[in-house]
Amino acid sequence: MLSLLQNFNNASEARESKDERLVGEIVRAMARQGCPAVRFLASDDRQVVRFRTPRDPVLYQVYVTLDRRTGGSALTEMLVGSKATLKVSAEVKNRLSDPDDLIKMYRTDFANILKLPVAGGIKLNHQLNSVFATTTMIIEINDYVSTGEAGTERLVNQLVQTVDKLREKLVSYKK
Amino acid sequence: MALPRLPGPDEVCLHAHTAAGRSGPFSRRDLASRVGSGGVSLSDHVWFEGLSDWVLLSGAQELLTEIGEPQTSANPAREGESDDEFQERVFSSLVKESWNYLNEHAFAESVDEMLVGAVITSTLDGGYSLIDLTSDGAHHHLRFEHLGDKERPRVLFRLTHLTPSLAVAKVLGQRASVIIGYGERVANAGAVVTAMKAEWKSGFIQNAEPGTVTVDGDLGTGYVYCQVDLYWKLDDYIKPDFSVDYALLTTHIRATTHSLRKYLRGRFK
Repeated sequence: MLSLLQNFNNASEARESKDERLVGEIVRAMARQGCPAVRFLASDDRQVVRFRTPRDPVLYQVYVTLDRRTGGSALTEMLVGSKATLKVSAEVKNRLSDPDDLIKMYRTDFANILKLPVAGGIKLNHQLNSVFATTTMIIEINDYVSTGEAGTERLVNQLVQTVDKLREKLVSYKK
Repeated sequence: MALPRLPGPDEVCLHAHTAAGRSGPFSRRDLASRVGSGGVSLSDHVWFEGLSDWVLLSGAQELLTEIGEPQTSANPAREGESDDEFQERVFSSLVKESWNYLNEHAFAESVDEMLVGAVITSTLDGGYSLIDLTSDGAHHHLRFEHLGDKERPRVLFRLTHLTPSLAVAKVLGQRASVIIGYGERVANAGAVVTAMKAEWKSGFIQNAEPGTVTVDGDLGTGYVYCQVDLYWKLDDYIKPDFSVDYALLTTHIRATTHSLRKYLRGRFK
C-alpha cells in the first residue's frame, strides 16, 4: 500500500517536473552555444533565464521564458498534453545613444503596437541603449523531454534558428 | 628584460602591484584596459607565473608590446591621427570604460547564477535531468534525478551568494554557501522512518558547519537524502571572460555525491 502511494507520488512529481526538465535542457543547449546563464527567476510553472552572448558580434543577451499552461495534473496532461509558451527575446546593446534614438525608439514602438509576437511573429521594443526582439511559440513539452537525444537535438536546432531570426531583425540597430 | 612565456590575451593570470595595493589576477586585455584608464601605470609592478619577482611594467618591454602602448597625456595622438579623431577616440574610451565599470558590477552580481547554469549543464551531462528549479535571484535550489538509473538517484544543490557586492568580492573573492545533497529511493519503510528520526535530530543543528551531514526522509516518495554544507570559491569555476572550468566543477560535484552515496547506503540500505 505504502509502495503504491509512493509510486503515485513519484509519478506525479515526474509529470509536474517536465517544464523544469525542458529548462535544464535549454540551459545546457545554450551553454553548448557559448552562452552562459546569468539570471534565473523560477517559480512553480514559470521560469525565466537570461543568457549572455559574449561571442556574438550583434547580440548582448538572450532571454528565455517558459510558461507552462497545461499538464500539471494527470487529467489535463491526458486531455491536452503539456502545453507551454516559450518566449525568446534577444537584446542588442549600444554604448552610445542620443535624442535621435529617442525618435527612432517611438517609431519602432508605434510600428509594433498592433503586432502580437505569438505564432512566430517578431516584436521589437526599442529602449535607449537597448533594442529587444521577441517571439513567442506555443510548444508541446513532451516533444522535447520525452524523446531522448532526438528531442534535445530538435530543441537546440529550434533555439539556434529562433536566435538567428531575432539577430537578423536586430542587426540594423547595432551601432 | 627577458620575460618567460607571456600569458595569452585571455589567460587570467596577471597580478599588479600599485599604490592602491595588489590586484588581479586579470588577463592581458584587462591589464591593457587598466593601463589605458590609468588604474595601472608604467611605474607599477606586475607579476605572473614564471617570474621570480615583481617587475616594473615600464621595464617589461615584451609585455608592453603585447598590450599596446598606453595612451597617456605625454603620448596623446597616434601617428597620422587628426586632433578630431584623437578627441573622438578618447571620448569613446571614456564611454567604454564607463560601460566596463557597470559590466564589472553586473558580473560580480551574477557570478552565482552563472555557477547555477554550469551546475545544471555539468549534472545533465552526467545523465541526470533537472526536476526542480526555484530561484529568487539570490537563493537557488536545484534538484536532479537520474531517470535512466533503476535506483532513480537524486542530487540536490542549494546555493546562496555571499559576496554579491563587487567591493566585498574583490577583497574576499566570490564566495557562496552551498549545500549538496544525494538521495535514493529506499524500499524498506523502516529505513525511511530511521532517516526521518535522523532528520528530526538534524533539526537540532542550528547552523550547520562545513562537513556536517544532515539527513532527510520522505515517507511520501520513499526517498532518503543526505546533504552537506560547504563554502565554495566561485572564482575557481567561473572566469571573468564567462568561461567555466567544467572539469573542476564536475570533479567537485562527483566527489561530494560519491561520499554522500557511500554514507547513505552504509547507513540506510
